[in-house]
Amino acid sequence: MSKMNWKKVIGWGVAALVVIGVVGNNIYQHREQKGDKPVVKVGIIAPLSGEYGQVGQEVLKGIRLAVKQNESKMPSFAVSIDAKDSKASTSESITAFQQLLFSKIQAAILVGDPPTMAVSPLAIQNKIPTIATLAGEAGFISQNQDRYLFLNFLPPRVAGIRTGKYAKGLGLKRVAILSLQAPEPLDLATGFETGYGIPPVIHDTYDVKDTDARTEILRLLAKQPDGIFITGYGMTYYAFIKALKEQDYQGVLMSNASITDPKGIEVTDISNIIFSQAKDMKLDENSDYQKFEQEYVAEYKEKPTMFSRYGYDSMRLLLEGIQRGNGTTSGQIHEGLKTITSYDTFAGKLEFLPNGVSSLSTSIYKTNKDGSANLLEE
Amino acid sequence: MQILLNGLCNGMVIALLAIAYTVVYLPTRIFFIALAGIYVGCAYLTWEMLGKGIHVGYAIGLSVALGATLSVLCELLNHRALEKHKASDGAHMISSLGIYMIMIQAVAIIWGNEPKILKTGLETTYHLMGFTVASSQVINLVAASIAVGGFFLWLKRSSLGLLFRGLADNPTQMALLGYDTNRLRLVAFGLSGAMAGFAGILSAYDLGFDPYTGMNAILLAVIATIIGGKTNFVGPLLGGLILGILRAEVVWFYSARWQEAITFVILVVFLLLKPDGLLAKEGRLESRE
Repeated sequence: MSKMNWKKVIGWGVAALVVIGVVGNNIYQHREQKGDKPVVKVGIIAPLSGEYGQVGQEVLKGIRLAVKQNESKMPSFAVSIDAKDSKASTSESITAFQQLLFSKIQAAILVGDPPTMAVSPLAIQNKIPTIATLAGEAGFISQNQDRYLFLNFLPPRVAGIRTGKYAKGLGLKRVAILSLQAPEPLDLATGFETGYGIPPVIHDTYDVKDTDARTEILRLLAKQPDGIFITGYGMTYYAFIKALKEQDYQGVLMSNASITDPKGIEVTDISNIIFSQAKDMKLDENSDYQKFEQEYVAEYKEKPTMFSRYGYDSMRLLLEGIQRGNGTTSGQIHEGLKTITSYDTFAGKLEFLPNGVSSLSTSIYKTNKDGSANLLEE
Repeated sequence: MQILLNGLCNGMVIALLAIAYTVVYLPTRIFFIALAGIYVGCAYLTWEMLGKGIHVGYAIGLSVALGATLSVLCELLNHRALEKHKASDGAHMISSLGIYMIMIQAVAIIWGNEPKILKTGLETTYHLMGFTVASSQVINLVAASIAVGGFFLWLKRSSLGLLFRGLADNPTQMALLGYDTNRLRLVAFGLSGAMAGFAGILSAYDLGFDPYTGMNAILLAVIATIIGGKTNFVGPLLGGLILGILRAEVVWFYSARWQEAITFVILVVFLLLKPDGLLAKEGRLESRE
């Protein structure tokens, strides 16, 4: 081809791209209406890849199911989701939030501590009503006077304190603590120590990449504890529980609510493990939960986990705020959310404190082999 | 002694992967990072086949064969072309890293990020002479030992093994002597993929797996090779066992959170004091590169 022809080809190509861009943008804008309904754009920042990718993916599944279920119930608006990968990093979370702001979100859901800690001040600054879940309180205490942020999560420290108090009540004298090196499990462990009130015989941490659970458990057992408190989630956490069960440990075994996840039952025997979780969380008797579980299984061909429940409840809370605000702008959604002082979730009844942190009463449960749990203490 | 046993069981799997890495590195000097993708991929393939009701023996055999095939394809489609263009070692490593990332993303897209396990439920544990050992530890130790033993037997006793030893010793001389080094390289890659895939399946059986476990495993294999010696095949075996035992001792005497840190301190110490490893062979100056 001659030079002249190449110029023509490039020229026409650029022109075609411009036309496609303009037309495509108009189509996209039209789609933002979804028929006659205005669309509320919700940005999600969650770990979707890497070590914690499983957590974020499950939360996202719960969120999507909530949107799908509520589509028929939302006459005045539709919801579109824009999910960004936080990669469990504060810097990635900030970048993700900036991208979401550019795409003009009206609300946000943050999953995990890194996005919550990093993005909370930006959400307040930009007046974006935000639900945070699977995160501690740190991002909330200051700056939330106008209540742009809501925490849908039992603060791990609270669950830890409750379990620690229960351990003290049992008369345990030599407790060993092993926690995953991540914010929530560490918060749980710190809460446990506070509630227990006696220094543990050993307090050790482990990483998601650790491959020698057996030796670590032997190290713990060498201290001859009459109780062991293990916190965490994911495969490494279950490997530690499994290693403990292999050693036929006869003392009191305590953990956190992750022990009830379906994955745990596959990996090991999860029976007779004590944990604290939200009061009123009687999933087996909750018809709404059973409906959610059926629809979840139908949609994703697997049972929901604790993470998907939190995702589902977070989106439901946001939808409630949108409906109450009777509008689709950030300001209206914010006004709607502010009117919610308590909300029924699968984790129990959330009572929102003035700073947006949720207060959930806790109870003590003991697991059965099939993943269900019996109430031990209200 | 219990800690030694735990370390040996873990170390044997590290040794198997280290030998798999060395099988490619010795004759080609290629830092075959894509092995980490094969390590993980074979575990997922086995899981998928077991889920479809295929017998465990066939599932493992097929997965290992597919691992070998993937590895051979890496050579045919990537490294051979780079070799033809006289690419540097760095180019081989970067391209291998690229292949690893493609494999991991493919695994994550097909099967998700969620960790999986090959064996459900509690292990059978055996209590012998004061030791407690789980069935998965026994299987890992025995299976990895058979694989390593089989490899050394093949290396020592078979004619192809003899040619392979020649290639590992001096590929240039082998080519000058008229041997088909391209075919021998394919054997190297195939063997490496098979061994890495088998190591991945053993590890998955004991610990579970997700798309990202491979990189950590291959790094440990490389460290084991550096510790043991990268100029022969016995070095990685020794290095793997030493590393497994040392890591268990670190967990016992200090804490699980120091495992990775101490591992890399050991690496730095060896790089500074004995960079050729414990079983380094003295060679001619020009062959040391």
